[in-house]
Amino acid sequence: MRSSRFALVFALLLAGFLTTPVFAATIGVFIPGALQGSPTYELLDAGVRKAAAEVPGITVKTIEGGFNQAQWGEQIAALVASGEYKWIVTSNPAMPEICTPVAQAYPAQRFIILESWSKNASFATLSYNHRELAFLHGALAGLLTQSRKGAAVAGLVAGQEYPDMNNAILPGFREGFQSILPAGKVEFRVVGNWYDAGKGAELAKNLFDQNVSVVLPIAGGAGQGVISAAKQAGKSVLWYDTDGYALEKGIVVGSGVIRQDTASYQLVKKALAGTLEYGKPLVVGVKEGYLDYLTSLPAFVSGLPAAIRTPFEAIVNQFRTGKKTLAMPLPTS
Amino acid sequence: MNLPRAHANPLIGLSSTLLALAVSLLATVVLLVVFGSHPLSALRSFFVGPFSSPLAWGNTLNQSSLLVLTGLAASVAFGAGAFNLGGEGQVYLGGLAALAAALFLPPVWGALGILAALVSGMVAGAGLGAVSGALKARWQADELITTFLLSASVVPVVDSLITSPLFGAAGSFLITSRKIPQEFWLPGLLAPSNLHWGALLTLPLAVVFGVLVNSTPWGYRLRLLGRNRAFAQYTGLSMASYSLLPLGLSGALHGLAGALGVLGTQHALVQGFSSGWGWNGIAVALIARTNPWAVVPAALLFTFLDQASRMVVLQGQFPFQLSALFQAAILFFITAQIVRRRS
Amino acid sequence: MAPNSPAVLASLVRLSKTFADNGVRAVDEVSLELQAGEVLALLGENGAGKTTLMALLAGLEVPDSGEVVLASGQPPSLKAGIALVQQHPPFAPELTLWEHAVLGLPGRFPGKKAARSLLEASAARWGFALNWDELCRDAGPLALQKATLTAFFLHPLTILILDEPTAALGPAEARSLLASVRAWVRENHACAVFVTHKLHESLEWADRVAVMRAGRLVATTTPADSSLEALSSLLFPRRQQPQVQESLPAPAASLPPVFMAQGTRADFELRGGEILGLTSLRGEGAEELEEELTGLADLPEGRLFLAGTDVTTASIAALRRLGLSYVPSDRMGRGSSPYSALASNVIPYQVTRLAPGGILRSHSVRGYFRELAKRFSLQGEPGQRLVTLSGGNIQKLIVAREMDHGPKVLILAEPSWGLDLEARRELYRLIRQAARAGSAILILSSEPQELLEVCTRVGVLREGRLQGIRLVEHWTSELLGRELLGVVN
Repeated sequence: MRSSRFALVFALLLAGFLTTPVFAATIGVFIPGALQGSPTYELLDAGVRKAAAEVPGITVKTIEGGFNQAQWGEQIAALVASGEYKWIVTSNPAMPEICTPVAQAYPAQRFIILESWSKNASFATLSYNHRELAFLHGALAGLLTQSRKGAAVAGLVAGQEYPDMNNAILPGFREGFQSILPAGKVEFRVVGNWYDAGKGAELAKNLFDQNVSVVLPIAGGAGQGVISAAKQAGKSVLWYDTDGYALEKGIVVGSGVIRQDTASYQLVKKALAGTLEYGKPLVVGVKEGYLDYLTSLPAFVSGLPAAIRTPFEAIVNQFRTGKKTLAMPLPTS
Repeated sequence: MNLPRAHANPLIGLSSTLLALAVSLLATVVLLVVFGSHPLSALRSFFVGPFSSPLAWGNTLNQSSLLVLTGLAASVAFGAGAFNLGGEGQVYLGGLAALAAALFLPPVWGALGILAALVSGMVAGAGLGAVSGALKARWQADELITTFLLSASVVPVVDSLITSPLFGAAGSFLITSRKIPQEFWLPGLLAPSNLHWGALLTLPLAVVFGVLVNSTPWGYRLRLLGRNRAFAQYTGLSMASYSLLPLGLSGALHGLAGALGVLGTQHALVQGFSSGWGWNGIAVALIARTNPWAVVPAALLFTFLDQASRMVVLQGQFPFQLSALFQAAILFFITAQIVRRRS
Repeated sequence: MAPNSPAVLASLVRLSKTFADNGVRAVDEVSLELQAGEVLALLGENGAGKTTLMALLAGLEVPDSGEVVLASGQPPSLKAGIALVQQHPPFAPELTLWEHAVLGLPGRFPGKKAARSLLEASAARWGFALNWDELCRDAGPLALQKATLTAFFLHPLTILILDEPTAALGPAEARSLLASVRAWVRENHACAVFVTHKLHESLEWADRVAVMRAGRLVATTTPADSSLEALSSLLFPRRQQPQVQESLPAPAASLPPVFMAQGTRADFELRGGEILGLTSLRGEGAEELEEELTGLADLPEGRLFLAGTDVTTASIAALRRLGLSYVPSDRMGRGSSPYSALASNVIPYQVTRLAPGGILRSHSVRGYFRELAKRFSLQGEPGQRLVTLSGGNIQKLIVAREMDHGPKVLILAEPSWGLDLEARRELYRLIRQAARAGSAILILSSEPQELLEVCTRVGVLREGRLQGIRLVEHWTSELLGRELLGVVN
């Protein structure tokens, strides 16, 4: 009878529906933003997956949180509440702040948060010595500005203001710039979000109009706008923490790198092995190898004259060998 | 713009709405099954997810109560023929006003301070709405445009004020104000969800409005205004005050939503916390065909669909833009008049 | 006549249609044949089903049973050559008349120039002169009707249906239009159906007359076999005694006027118990006067007094409080809320009274409606939407609402537009009743004949100015016509 067959199919579907096992993923990678077009997060994700691939039975799920900061807390809470993830891996200086109430409600949950600093016993955090990296960018900017005889002003365009930016990156950049041009100044502009390229272009154009030679954007998707403005003005752009030479040949002349994939790989590997320490925030700089400047890439070599490259590489090597270090200002709690 | 009007036979109106909802639900289910890597668990996340834990329940209830408020706000305006498209700004400004009250009133005021903060939120929202109303009364400025523009310009202003020394939180990595004193926090319910006592305020408010709009002379006049403005004027209604009133009232309700959001959930003003509340309120009002009685079920339904799609996104099978896609599909089907009107 | 053209262009075969809204059987087993080369007049009082029948013929409504069979075999539609020019043609307010006219033309959309020349050529044969650049919302129903008619003639047509085509036209224009229709029909072996309740028109212009009553087709006849009296008794089988005009006593001149205009272009004094009628040709000032006297527009000069108070700048609410009631010419746009329920439409002045303790009680509202319905013989249920009523019944409801509380001054603008004989008689009865009860009544109408029948005094507006008010006994149709046209001895 048609109706009984229909009932059978329905019952099977229902049974399947109800008995599908909860998906046995153990690591959740939460991206506060979008994965596409965000090298920092792509590297994070890559590192986690590499570590997970080495251990059988570990699966990774990547969840994008969108750009609305006010919703991240709710989303993290939902992830943790589902009980599916043994570890939540994420990256963003604001994440400890957001995860703290969730950690309080679910004390058994473990978080691995890169690019952040927290003593919370549920978190394993790792922060980068942005001051050192920014210093390197500043030094290169100084050398470039000096050779072009532009105004002794460098530009820094940020997505938003936050403590690391105000306390470490901006001063570090200024220090590096002034180490070459003692009378130099840094012009600081804020986009207000991490995706508006149009606004980024507008701010950069304004700087270039004032005879600035080099701009360092740290603004996520808005950085693209800075590049297009530089292209129009015939000026230069430094790319903060990933290989940006290919973005616009001849315009992006220097790229720093934060080896986020190495960092996440190392941390997750330790976590899987059970040797990760929680509540002990790590700070790593150029010496430890997680931060560096991409001076050996052909694009760098061909893009700048030796008169600039040689003194700059000397500075970078000082940091690499640990001869020179800078203290990273840390939060008090 | 033709708003969906209540049909003479309420059953046809209702079946038209239900049909639209059923179709949009079907569309989302199809999307889930076709594009999801694990259709059955995606379906389970969708239908069961919003109720699967106290956290989920609490968030669902919280969101629906907020939508009841903004849905009422939109219904009040649209039912009176005033197109309030400025909900977003009115909510946000209401939140700022409540924040200011909470930060600058002495904490010893306690519950009175909470009340003062809520009232400030309402006043701020009402003020913003009333500006458009005044422009309409005096210069026949189309409120469709003025509400939207005013709201769009208020949002960046509030954004910049959040991190200013006046309101800002030092040492936070988020764009947020500092936290309000604990004495002004609305106690939470079903922790760790976003639900709080203030959310329970909205149901009685919906009842009050249901009675006001449907069963009082004042409500009758407001509805007449929405049905045929020329006729309302002809019967002697003062066009000046009835241009101000619907928009002011709508703004006040939006402002209240913003105030509750600040006092109840984050206990601070986080940038973008209310993003979408105004527009979703309009969606709820459309589903409810501007009848306050229908706003509560409409808000619940809309919230369910929204939370369900978010659950699926969180489950990790879809990019985050998909929840917006689901909402758009739902709205699309709702506003299309599917059942042909028999005249 | 071409050898192969059909004699019967369309057959309506046992058509029936009931509307779900109110369960009324609007068309009940109607069968009718439309012959080529004939003009058919369709008569019936309001609510008889004429409009619905024509909508079925034009393919705008779907019958519940029965069918419309065309000679061409196609289903009925504009494409099949059937055009219905409605009394109130639907339109998009933001379009200009020419855009409205060319909307939906098959083929490529013609540019403005091409469209204008097409339309002007088409309009010329009808003797229409229209401002094609006017926006539809400003154009007014007459211009829209003409534009729509002109537009239809850009399609090949076999059957033209006109719903009350002369309702808004003056006598000369009406003749001209009907003559053009007849000429078109004869030349093209087409068919025209015009729906009317003007009996004399049907006798003069139609080849056949069909009479509908309560949804059924009760008779088809020819003018030769009929007369005004015969048609009248077909429409209204119960004996209608010719109304004996009871003359109303003229109020004593010593009584103060309750409504007065001074120093305006149309000065008058109105006392309780009087019925003053003002008439004009279209566009001579009656429309503006309507708005000026009712608080909708400012008086350009002079002062207005109501019950002794200067109300020149008074608000509408103030006017109503002082006792002014007003039945507007724009029934659906201004006088009612078409999509609201009947009850909602009658209570605007009663809401506070019907809401003791602030709560509007639905049984009080319904009770008030039923009471009003009894006093004024209104049709319909309180919860029914107003649009479901016929035009005449809508007007009765509005009049009832405005007369209800015995106003001091009652202004009626074009009150019998679109009303059939029966409804008009009823309306005049109500007006006289209100006058006897002491109201001062002002009627603005473009039908001089009507004013002669109802009023105690009649005045003529020409070029915006009142040309002189005389007692109705001192007017004749000829005198009135001459005064209207400006032919003065």
